[in-house]
Amino acid sequence: MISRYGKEYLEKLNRYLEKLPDDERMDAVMEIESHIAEGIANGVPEAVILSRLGDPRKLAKAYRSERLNGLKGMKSLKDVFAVIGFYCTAGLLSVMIVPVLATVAYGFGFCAVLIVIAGILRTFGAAWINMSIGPGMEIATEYSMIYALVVGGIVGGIAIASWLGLKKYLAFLSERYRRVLPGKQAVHG
Amino acid sequence: MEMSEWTSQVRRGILEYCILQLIGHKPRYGYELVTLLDQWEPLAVTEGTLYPLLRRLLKDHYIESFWKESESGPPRKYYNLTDSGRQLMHMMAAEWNKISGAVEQIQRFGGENID
Repeated sequence: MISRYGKEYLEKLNRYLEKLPDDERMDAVMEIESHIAEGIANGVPEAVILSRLGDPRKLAKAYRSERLNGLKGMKSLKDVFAVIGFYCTAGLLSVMIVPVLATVAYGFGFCAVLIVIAGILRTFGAAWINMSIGPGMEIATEYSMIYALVVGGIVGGIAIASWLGLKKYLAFLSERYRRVLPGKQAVHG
Repeated sequence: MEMSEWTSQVRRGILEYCILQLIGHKPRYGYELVTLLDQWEPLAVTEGTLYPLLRRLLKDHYIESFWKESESGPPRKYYNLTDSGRQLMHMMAAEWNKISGAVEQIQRFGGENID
């Protein structure tokens, strides 16, 4: 039986392999699990097996780098065009989407913080800070904080939305990259 | 170049060939390959080298894998040569014979009196 330590090892390996497609990752972890169990069945102490396997992070890294080596196996012209196509569309899209979303996320996030700080300062009498809804509609000092929280919330919300959008876009990119990657589709025998 | 670096570069290519030979003989699983290769000190591999290497051979379609229950222990993942793997193995075998023949001649005669 694999002990708690062995299971922990497998969990770590699974986590470090997260960049691999699910089926490959599960297959790799199952294989290492089988390896550990095989060793135990042969009377090798589990600690020895685990230490031979080495740091799970390193093992995961070895899997990933062998996987990259596999990229050299781009044989057909079709594969090459698929990759070129990917870089062209993803590249052009990214040039627009990534900087805009990143700027909005950080710029608006920063402003939201400033607005809240301004609200605090104005509440405590910093009259030089101007807050109004429209021309001649000054906000009373005691409502400064509420006003700051509402406006800051809206601005901050935009920042968070952009940030989430950016993350989603990047995840989408890597997912697409994975699918374009030649050799990925056939893993199992 | 450091000795260990030279050794690891030479080993890497040979190891791949030896693994193809071992799998070509009959289907084998990872633990078995590690244990087998351990018998020859210069070919001893760590699991961290073997499993990723197997994975690459799998991806390149030189080998294929299948899971099989074992009587004694856990299910095992066996590897088998594909047709293109067998072809590669034969090509490597021919190349290896040429290389080792050439190296042997050089070792013996240092480039003198080769007839």
